[in-house]
Amino acid sequence: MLLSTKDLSFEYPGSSEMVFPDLDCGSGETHLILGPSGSGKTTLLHLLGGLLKPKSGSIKVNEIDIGKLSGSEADKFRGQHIGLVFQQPHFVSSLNVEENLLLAQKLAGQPTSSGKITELLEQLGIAEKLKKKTSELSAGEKQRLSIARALINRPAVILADEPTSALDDDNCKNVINLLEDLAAQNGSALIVVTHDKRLMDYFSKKTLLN
Amino acid sequence: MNIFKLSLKNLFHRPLSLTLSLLLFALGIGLISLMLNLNQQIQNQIDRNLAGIDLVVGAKGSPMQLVLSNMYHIDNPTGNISVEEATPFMRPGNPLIETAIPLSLGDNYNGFRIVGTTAEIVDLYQAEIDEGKVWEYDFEATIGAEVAQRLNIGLGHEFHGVHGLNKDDDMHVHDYMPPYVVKGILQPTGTVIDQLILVNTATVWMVHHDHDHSHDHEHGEEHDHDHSHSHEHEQDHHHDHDHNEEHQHEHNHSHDHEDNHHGHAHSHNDHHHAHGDDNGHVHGPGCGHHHEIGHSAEDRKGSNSIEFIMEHHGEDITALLLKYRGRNIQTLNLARQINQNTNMQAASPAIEINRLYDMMGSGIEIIQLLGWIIAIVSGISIFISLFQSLSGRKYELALIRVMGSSRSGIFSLIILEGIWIAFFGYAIGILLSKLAMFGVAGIIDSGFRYTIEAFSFVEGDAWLLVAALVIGLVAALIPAVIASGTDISKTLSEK
Repeated sequence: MLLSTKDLSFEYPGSSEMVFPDLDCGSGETHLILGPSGSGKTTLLHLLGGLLKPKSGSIKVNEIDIGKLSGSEADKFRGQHIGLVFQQPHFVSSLNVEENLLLAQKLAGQPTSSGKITELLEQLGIAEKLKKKTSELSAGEKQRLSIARALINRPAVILADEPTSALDDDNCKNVINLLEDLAAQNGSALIVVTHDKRLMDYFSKKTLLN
Repeated sequence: MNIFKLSLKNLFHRPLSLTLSLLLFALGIGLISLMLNLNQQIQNQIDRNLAGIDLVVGAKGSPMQLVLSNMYHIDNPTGNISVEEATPFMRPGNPLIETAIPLSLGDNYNGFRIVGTTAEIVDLYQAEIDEGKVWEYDFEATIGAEVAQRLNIGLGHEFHGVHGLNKDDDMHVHDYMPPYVVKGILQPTGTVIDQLILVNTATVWMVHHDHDHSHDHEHGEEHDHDHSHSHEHEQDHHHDHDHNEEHQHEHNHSHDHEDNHHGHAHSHNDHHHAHGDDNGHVHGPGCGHHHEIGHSAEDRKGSNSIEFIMEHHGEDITALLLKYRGRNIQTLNLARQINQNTNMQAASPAIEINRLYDMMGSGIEIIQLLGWIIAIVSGISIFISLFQSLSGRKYELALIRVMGSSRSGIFSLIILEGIWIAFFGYAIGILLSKLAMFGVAGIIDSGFRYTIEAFSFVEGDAWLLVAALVIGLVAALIPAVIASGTDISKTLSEK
């Protein structure tokens, strides 16, 4: 298993404990986590991404329990093994498209490669935006660029938080297909959390939070 | 693309706030550096030109003016002193005084002062002859390296002096006199002698007397004046002069020393026909008493000696530079004795220069303080600009963490941004300071003929860099702590 959780729970200070169902996701598998607002979808995703530390239980990515890593170890591990896609695509505004991806490579400790970047952007259909400022991209292009950033280091696990909810139907279909295709191509585990019902049909495994 | 490059990119992404911070920083650093350099350069010039001179003796007036005009050749002399009064201090046997160098000022050539003096001045400033020789005969000049270089003149160059000490003082050219001929050029010394034109004292006297005379002429005296005058004419001129009220002072003076003087004139008259070479000429008639200064080649060579000057009791010199044999209670009292018992004034360069430093120092301190205030305000502007940028960059800073950067990476990023502003501000400030020094050097050069190195560095410039980086670091510290401490999960959850 690329990703597995067991007895995972989390507690925000001053609120009640959240308990999450166990998850397993293998190479090339896709997993949809559905739930209404406030059901802890984003919290779960942040736990899986090492942005939050669980109260109890384990999160294993590539057999490493990321809940037990120190702050900077978790940062480094995340950069190398986990790709994250957010609902609102944000980038480093002082950098152009290519530089944003070069930074992602650098911060993950990977060798920087413009060739890899161009190749990935071609697959995503935005290769001609290489030298553009990120602010000049359309909403769909931005989301594709954030997929590129999540995938540039060929992570074991791709975590996407509401990647399509800000997009129209065409872009939604486009983006989810790209995510699935590239995850499959990389052999990554893809986990998407959403309340977007349009995505129901695309996923083999589904978990409902409530 | 790494944190280092990213910090630079981030900086230039906010050009307006960057410009404001840079300008302030550059202004503060520039002012401080300018003051440091100016102070250093001026002190260097002042110290180099002390040249071991213990006392300056000249006419009564401001002691600082006396020192500035005769040692530094800026400002006008306080007036003249008579050779007679100065003689006791020039006498080689004086038990207190090792060297006495008479100076006679009054004219310039293209702003470079022509100084009538004795050859000892060359040793005083430890100058060496580069080309030619030290002046000996009348109208021979030995010029400082700066004079030669700036005016692009060499051996054999002939020129006329202009009355006054600064270039534009007076357009009166002494062109009815024989020209000075450059006979020697000194090696550069870094001292004031580099910018002097040295001639013998007799020449200055001649030019000066003639000048006085021609002045009468310009003022509408009704007599014909032949500048290639013969000896016979002199008596007439002498007469005219005696009754010229405009020269009352000199008139009186002439009476004081009439007897004495005539004795000299006669003794020299014996040699009157001996001169006739290319330098030979009859000097202009004197102001109230005429001098026969150096008649034969032998004599004129002698006119460069201190003994020759002492023989001419009735003449004036501008000042004496004195070097003591040693310091003792008598030398300590010498200045006071001169000030109390003679019509002359004695000023100690050490005391006057310290007074000058005190005056200059407080001005420089105030400007430096202003510089530091501006630098600190610019530090605050760096702080505000970084602090303000944080709220706008919260999400992207969180993203940088998501991409694998640690908290310390974020901390370094913000600190670097502060340090970059300080560094660039410093660089621009130093550049501004050097440009300003260049401007100041131009002003000093045209005003005083001193050469100031505009593009040199002082140790303070290096310390200023350290101080600048510390200001940048401190300004960025709080924003960096805040940015690195941000909870990224919380930031990314905010819609």
